[in-house]
Amino acid sequence: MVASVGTRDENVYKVLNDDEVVRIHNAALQVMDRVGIVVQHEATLKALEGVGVEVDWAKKLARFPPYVVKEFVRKAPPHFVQGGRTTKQDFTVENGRVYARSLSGCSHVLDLESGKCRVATKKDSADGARMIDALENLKFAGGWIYPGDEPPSTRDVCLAQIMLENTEKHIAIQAYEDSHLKYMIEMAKLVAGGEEELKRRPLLSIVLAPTSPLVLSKVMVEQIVSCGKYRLPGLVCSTPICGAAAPVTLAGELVVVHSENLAGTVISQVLYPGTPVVYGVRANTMDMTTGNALWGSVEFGISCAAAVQMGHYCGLPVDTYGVGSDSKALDEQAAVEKVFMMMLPAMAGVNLLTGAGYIETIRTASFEQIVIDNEMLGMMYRTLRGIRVEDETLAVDLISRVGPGASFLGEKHTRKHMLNEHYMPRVFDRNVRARWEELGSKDAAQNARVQAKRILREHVVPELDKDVRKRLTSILDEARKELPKESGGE
Amino acid sequence: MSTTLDRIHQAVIDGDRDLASEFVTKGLAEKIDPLTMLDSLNRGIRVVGDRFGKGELFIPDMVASADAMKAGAGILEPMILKRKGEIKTEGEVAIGTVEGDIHDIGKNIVAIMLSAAGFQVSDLGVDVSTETFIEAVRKNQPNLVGMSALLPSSMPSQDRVMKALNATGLRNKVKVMVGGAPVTEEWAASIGADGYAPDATLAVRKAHELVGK
Repeated sequence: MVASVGTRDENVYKVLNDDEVVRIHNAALQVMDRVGIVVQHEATLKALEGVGVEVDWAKKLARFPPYVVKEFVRKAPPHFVQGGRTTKQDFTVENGRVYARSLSGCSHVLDLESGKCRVATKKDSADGARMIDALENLKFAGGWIYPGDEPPSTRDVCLAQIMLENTEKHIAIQAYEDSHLKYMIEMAKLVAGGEEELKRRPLLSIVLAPTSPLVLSKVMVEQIVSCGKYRLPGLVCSTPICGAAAPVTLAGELVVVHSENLAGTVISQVLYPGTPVVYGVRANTMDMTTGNALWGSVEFGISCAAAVQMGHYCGLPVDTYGVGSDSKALDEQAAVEKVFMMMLPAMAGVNLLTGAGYIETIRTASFEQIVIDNEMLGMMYRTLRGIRVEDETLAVDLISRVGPGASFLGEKHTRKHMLNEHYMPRVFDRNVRARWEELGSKDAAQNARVQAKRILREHVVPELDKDVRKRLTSILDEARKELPKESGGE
Repeated sequence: MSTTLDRIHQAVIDGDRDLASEFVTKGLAEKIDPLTMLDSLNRGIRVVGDRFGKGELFIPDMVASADAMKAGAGILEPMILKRKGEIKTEGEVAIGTVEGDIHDIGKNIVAIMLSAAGFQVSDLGVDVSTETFIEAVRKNQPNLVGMSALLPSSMPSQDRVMKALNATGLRNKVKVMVGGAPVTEEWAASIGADGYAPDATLAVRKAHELVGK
């Protein structure tokens, strides 16, 4: 059964009532106006000043009057296309649709053979891209696995090449700095077939990370500019650690998140009106017994669900995490944490649900886990589809024909609707024990391992044109020459 | 009846920086030896560290207590500069987030945990240049240098500091630890660092291993 990706009109999980949404929005406006946001980019501060933002140049602090925020956030498009290698992979980011992707950023991987956690390599990055390409519930890709065998200065550019070569799906990716992003854009132009085509059907969307609380660094703002120039969707990814970089109260965290997102959106619309922006939230929390950041807590899920309401209130599509866990193993903790983190924003109507493929606080990728995550997403989609109530599905005529005490099994109606109405799992086992034992008594992780290996063995992604591949490599080679020099020499 | 020293000790335990400053100032007026007051401050933070280790107190409690200790110690610093050798300590640490990186939450927690464990910690801040690290080693002669990087693109800064330590002949005068989310054991080894730890608790343990007395 192909998973459907629709949601119903009524988003089921409303963390905040309407008044509360407005209160948080107003609190954020107050913060943006009276506290201000540090914007470490002079040209942008100038542009902001030009539209009515008050700038304290000594502190690089921008105070946004509410009318400016209102005026510019309105210009961000409520829906837009994200493109894949061919139009078959294109999709529209819009309300009423939930699309899922892998996260960006694992440095380690659980080895498929040994089960041990180790630093990831270029081969893992490529295998990961291919797995994402194969999994039907992942509409697009994130820069899932970073190649640890590439020097740190060019790890992001190297990953961009690997992703472009090994999946046809749209890629959401993060660049360390604008100079790195420029190489990725060159690569994307090549694969898309030119700058105009890239602008029409953006192959990449770019993760833009504020430094919480309330600081938009040079690194981030320069990339907002590049996104605007090429009309690449920019994902303003507010990631404050709750309790450390934002108030420990979830409402206070939402104020910081909302302020940062609106500031990033205003900047992008002031500079390049109409550029697609996504309201992004990673509401991670702090473990107060160790100081470690947590990417699987239930509060993360609750805050993300509330953030969906906040972004939608401003007319922006929202990207949050879901499918996350702090577990080190493929176990009950992984499953339970992921379900909470996934279902809460999904049922709140999130547009883009990120995060498939990790355990251990986004540090470690697992090929088995992404297969299980894909399964969970399938169940999520089934939940969001709900129950179709129409004459055909009420089946009163059928019930009256079949009559009391008889069976529906042989009916045409049953054959017609069974696959659509009932989700069929690919990994979870439903056999009786005797049969399950015959099949090797495998648990979900073991079944997932078999599937992951099969996918990696069998799934083929069409190769890019030889000339394109050569030119991608020469772009990376140039990055390898130039970028280390920039960070002070190697 | 509480003495001024008791009150200094308690102000740290309660995480009250205003009271810590107040009683240190009072202690100076009473002509209490600054080193004795510093000892009260340090003992206070160690009590907090112990309770934290037992799960009775949490990170925010540690931070508040460390702030109180720093407030008191800041007042005493000019008076004890010349008497550093007399201070009982596990070791002296200089810690900072490397050049190009302004993330400091993790680094701050490590600094606090090290203080609670009995180390004298000098926090160099964020976006710390290679030159600043080298100067800190040259001038203050710490036993241990800690470098934090949260961005993969800042990791090369850790390498640059290692190279500078070698080039200036200071490498064997100090132990070096690195940390931060993208940093790994392998990276630490490849740049010649003496140690790496994945979180604050393990960082303290490693620091003891490397320089503890």
